[in-house]
Amino acid sequence: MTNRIAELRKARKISQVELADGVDVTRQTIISLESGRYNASLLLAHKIARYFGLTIEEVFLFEEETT
Amino acid sequence: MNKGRVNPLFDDLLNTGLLVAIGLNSSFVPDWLSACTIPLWLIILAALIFVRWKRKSLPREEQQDLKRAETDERNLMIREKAAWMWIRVEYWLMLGMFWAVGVIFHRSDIAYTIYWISIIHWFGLVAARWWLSRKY
Repeated sequence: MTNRIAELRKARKISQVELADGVDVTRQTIISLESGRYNASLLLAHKIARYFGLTIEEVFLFEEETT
Repeated sequence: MNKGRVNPLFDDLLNTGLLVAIGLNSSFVPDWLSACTIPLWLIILAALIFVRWKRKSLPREEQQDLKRAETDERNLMIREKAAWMWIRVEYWLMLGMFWAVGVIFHRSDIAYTIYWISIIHWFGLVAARWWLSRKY
């Protein structure tokens, strides 16, 4: 799963600290989400999407594995 | 948010230090070893008082940051993964100790103490998992 958090945050000129405060997590969690090292829970994904005024699908990109 | 102050690891580290200090002050530990732990006790005590004072004197916003760090889902995930990873390491360590104490040092009394601690530990884990699987 990839996400557009960094892109959306920079476009809106929001700092990592501001986003972390807005969705009630630590800055370290935002850093991990942006770098793709950590996948958000459904609750956090919902909070982040709502923070940007978008849907979860518009922020988080689910890539189905092809076998 | 000051990253240095928001570190859940520090509390775990203090708890570990306290556990070590208590263990080394038991009656069966030689006096010279107990005496060595006095500086450790003092350092931990000073750290506990300092942390308590520091946290109380923090502005409201930073106190909220601390609370957030404790409930942050990534921090909780790391704690759960660390606990599960260590449980698996501990299983093999206990087996190794059981074997070494029993076979190499021929101390079956200690070996069976380790054995029963391991058994209780794993039954406790299974029971906790069973209870949580019913809950969720």
